Amino acid sequence: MWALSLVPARYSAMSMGYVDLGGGPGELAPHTHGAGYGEAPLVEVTDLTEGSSRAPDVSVTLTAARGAIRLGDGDAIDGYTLNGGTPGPEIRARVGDLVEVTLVNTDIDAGITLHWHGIDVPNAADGVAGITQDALAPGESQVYRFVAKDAGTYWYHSHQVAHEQVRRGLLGAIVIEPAAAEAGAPVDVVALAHLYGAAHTINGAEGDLHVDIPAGASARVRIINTDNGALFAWLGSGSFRVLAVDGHDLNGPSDVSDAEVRVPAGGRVDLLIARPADGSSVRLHLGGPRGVVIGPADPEPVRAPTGQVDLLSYGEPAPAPFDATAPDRRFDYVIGRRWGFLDGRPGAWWTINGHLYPDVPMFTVEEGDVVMMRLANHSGQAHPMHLHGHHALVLSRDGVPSTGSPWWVDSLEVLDGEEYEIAFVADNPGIWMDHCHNLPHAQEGLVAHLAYANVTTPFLLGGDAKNEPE
Amino acid sequence: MRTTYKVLAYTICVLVGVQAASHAWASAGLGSWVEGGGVLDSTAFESDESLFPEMAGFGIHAMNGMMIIPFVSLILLVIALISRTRKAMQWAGLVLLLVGVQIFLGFASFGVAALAILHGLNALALFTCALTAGRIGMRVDAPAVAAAAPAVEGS
Repeated sequence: MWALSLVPARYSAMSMGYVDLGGGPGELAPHTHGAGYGEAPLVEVTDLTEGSSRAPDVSVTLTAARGAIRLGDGDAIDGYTLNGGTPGPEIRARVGDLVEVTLVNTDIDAGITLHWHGIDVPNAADGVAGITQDALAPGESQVYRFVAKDAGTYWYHSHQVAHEQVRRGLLGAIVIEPAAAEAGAPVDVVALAHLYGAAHTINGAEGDLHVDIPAGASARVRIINTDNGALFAWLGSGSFRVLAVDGHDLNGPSDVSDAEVRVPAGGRVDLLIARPADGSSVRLHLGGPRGVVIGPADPEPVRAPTGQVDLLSYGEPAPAPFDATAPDRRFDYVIGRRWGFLDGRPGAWWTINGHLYPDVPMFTVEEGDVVMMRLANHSGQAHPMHLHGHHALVLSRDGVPSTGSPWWVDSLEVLDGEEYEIAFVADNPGIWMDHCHNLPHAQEGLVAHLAYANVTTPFLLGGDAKNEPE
Repeated sequence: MRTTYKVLAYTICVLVGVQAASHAWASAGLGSWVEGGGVLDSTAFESDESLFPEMAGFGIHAMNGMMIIPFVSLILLVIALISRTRKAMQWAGLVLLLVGVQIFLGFASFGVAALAILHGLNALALFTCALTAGRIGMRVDAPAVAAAAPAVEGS
């Protein structure tokens, strides 16, 4: 059992675990998924690019380097910077823009990548070491190109040794705005929450973020949770609306006055907050020690309300863009925990459908499939599950159907004992990670992949590039 | 073999003591850290950061409780089975059972915090059983076993 758990020094994700066809057509032969299926020719992930050679509308170079991160109390921790700081520069684009980001590794020995968390980029630009690229060694660079399609709040981070590099600063915000500026739109505020050492920060600074807007005006606060645990947001007074979740607007959001909002690890929530017409200020709490203060005053912090916004019933329903009642594939993603060996190390490790990493399912689909996935958690702890390259519609939780706004997610927290049904259209060919975004959990084996038939990857986990995406 | 059994049983007592001490040390460190302005929320709780030095106590508690104590308890039972001493087997079996219960309660208390009370009380039961195993585990049946299997007695 111990010997079987050992992970080879170099291996392809295509040979990982076992094929799960979810009741659809395909070949079950182990270790050949993605290779030689059907009549269609094989496609490598490197071919799945944006395609267009047109000049970029947004062009950014991000230079990564080792550096000390100075905290408010004067202490410094060893970390990583992008263009000399962390978080990296906020990137802004409009719908339809072609975004081109050049990533340069100055001196980070473990290698780096950048993943565009929540943006459904072409697979070649997904930035996962060992799956869609090799980690960039010091002195190397890589260009990521994608078209900004969906307006919303996103972030980017390294997906090489992610549990360490994200924590240490290789991350930043990216916002996709509507194609044209909207008259009367609320003031746009990004609040990227990150823990550096023990310091809770917003946009890299400890303490409150102050936003002074005129009385009666409103702000759209884009909360980005880049940490491993859930972040809770609540308002000191007045009410807010949840405008968007994971980069997708909610339909018919209503006022919330006495409840907090859960932002899962990796997730984003946009809130609409009005500064009262009487000129007073309001405090949006983000966890315990920090917040966004709207207005010039400094309102006293208040305790979190006991209620929580339930996105399963929040907002107004709207028709789904696809029929989820008769999916082409049905997958189970059941998370458990048991004793065993993970790469030779004994311990109580996470399981997927009863299997320990790397003997995990390769969820296999064909382009155009409607896919339903049952996410169940019996592991004793919460797991914020993140699917790359797609957004899924939440259908139900614990058998209770969604009755609110269509709730699209790329980062969905599944609490212990909960069971969600989600559905999505397989419309973005590639090899996509589907993993827990409590990144130490991913490092502990809570990782599977969604693979399109006839797509394969030339990159190896481990190997000369020392690819270690988790 | 009797000495080995005794040493292992008392080792478990010491390790249970380490469990109590490490958790108390970490809890005190947490309190001190919060008093000094530290904030523990979900993001900090789930981070891989060493927020305060005494946090190592939680790691010691987890490693000792999930790996070392079960391993020593298993060896204790194996020694008892080899010795074929009824009392030794009974006490070693009970120790291992309580270790299993203890781990279950430890994990279950993440979901139902009240079970942590039983986790604490079960630790006392485990300590007592291990102490009793060390004191009388082999002694009571020793003459009978010696008559039936002198080779074991002499090992």
